[in-house]
Amino acid sequence: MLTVAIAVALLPALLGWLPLAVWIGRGRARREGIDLPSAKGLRRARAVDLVVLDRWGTVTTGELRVSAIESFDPDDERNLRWFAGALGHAAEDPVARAVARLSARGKLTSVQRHGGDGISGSVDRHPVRLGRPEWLGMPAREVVGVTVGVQVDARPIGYITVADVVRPDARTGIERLRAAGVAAVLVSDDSERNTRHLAETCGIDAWHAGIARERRDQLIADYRLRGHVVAVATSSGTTSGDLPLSDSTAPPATRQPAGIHLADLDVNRIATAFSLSRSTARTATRARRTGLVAGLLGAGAAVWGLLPALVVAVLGCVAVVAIASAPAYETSRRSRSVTSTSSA
Amino acid sequence: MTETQDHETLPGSAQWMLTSLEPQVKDVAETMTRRVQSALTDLAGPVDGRRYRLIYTAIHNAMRVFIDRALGRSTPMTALDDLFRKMGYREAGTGRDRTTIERALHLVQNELWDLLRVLAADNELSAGALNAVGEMLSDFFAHLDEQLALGHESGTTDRNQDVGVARDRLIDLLLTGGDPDAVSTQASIARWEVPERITVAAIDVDGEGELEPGVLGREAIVGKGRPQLVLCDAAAFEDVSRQIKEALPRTRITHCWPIAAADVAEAWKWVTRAVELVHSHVIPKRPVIDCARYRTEIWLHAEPVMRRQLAQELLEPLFAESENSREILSETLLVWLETRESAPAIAAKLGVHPQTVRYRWKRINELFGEALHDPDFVIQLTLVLKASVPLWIAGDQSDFQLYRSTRER
Repeated sequence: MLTVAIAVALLPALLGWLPLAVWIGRGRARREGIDLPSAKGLRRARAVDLVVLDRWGTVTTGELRVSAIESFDPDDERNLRWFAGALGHAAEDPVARAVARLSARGKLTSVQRHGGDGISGSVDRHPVRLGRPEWLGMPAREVVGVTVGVQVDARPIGYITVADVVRPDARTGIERLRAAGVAAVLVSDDSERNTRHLAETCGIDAWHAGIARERRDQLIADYRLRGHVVAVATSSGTTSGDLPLSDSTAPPATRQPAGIHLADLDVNRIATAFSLSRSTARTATRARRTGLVAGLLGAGAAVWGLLPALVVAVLGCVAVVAIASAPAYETSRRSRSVTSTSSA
Repeated sequence: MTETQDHETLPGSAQWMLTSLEPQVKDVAETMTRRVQSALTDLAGPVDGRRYRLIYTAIHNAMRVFIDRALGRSTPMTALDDLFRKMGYREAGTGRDRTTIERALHLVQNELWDLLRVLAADNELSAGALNAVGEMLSDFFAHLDEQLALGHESGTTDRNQDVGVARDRLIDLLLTGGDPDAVSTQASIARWEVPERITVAAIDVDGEGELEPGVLGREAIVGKGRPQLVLCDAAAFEDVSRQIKEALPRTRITHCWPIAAADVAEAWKWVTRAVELVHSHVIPKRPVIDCARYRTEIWLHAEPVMRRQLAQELLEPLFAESENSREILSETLLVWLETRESAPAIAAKLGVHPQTVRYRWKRINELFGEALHDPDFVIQLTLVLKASVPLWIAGDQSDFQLYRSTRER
């Protein structure tokens, strides 16, 4: 009889050892477009104090947009849009994709790509060149973004500037990370002027311009050497850093069980992922401890009889379940409210 | 002089001199033949040629007969007379008069007389004997000249009754606007009734030979040269065209719309111009080209010098552009001048985007400015562009070369 009473009394401790909090936290996170990592990853997430944000897709939408069109002759603006846009369809780089959205496709012939200089081709038999102003013999433009010159029939007709599309709630996301004790570092393959402008717009204090992929890994290693636990958010995928954050566009080989996989690398989603990971890990610990305490109390009560032990066990189980589920639910509700505030 | 005519007896010294000439007849005939051919270009030809042999035979035979008869031998004249009449006849057959052949005869007579005088001096022949030889020689050549005239007259008569010759003459008369009576006479001999409405066609043969006159029967008359002229009744043109195609499948027939006989010369100008425009790619190459479809092109290219000067004057702004730009701007300008349609409609015609047309139109306005509002300028511009653009597209660079050379001066 006494053995049965003790066994019943220890049920809360057994329940506390089950990963109820992790299961519930994962369910909540999935609804936010976040795949939480393994238990090891959750522990790492708690320790992260710095996140490296790739320019593409984190604080920006990952696309460029035409921010300015300057035609030398005001009557040429439509011609500028048409010829540059039609030629832009022949290239795949982000600048050309942004320019291509200015017009429909046209009849293109003799298309040639000139490395980093630009692209040339004939649109409806008119020779068109689109590229670095210096390459076209045009004065360079000192403005934020990437400016390309446009030449039609060997005559320069104007400039087109394209720039990052900054996420409207990027600054909020950075602030949430900072509040969670995670410093954001912006890494960009763009020029210093453009990177500085982007960092200032988003409220990021630390930024690195002109960083290619190889140099990015070195930069992360440097931060780790300085004692930081580094999370890395990049759509190009990475195996460097302590906690990789990847999205659906990341190469499968770079996806790790210990990393966090997100629907996209929106900095707000990253902040939510950190918040959920940490609260889930914390809640799991708390549920385990509560179950242990309730089990010990129940065992003591069993000495006095079966009924008190049964009452303590039931109360202990209820307490464990309540602790395991409540924080995750609250976190989820909070993250939703941040998103809706940002959108407004 | 006849075969049975008795000869005056030459003095013995003269007979001796002519006898000594006999072995040299062959060499003398060869020398004279060469002299005739070098002196008269119409009779020139290679030493082993047919013409050389004919002249040599005539001279050789004439000398032999003359010497024989001078020495009192009874050599008949029949064969020699026949030879000279045939020569006259043949000359008439080629359409030439007797001038050339008579000059040749006189040349031979003079050469022979010179030779006889030298021989007379060498042999100390008396003046009387030499005169007797000279008189005989004159009579002999006068007789030969008479035979030539007879042959030529006979040839001319026959030629005037020849259908082929009459057709050639008829074509010449129609192409030169000849006298209607002459046209009627030749048409009658040619056995081709001049129709009320005539179709003038040109057969442009690409290495396929020539259309034989007999191929088209009596329905059409065929000229010579290239392109080859064909005249037929307008109502029968389809049949004639089919017959030409059967005879020369790869030939191109360029024909005019039906015209009156008096307009054949003008129609031939239009047709030959159309053939030239086909060669210069202004008119597309097709097996049968109806000039009625290309009246504008034929008209505009009637004055090539004026077109070139107008182009230099009116299209100067375009000439300063690059070749590609010039071509596409002029093409767009011409379509706009001809249609006056909207940018999307012109774009659809040219197969480009409407914004491309708007861009081109902006450039055209920059180049020509206010002139495009002047109706006279616009009419001239339309004509000169219509005449010039197809030439440029076909690769004719002469307008731009002229512009550049004028600018460099």
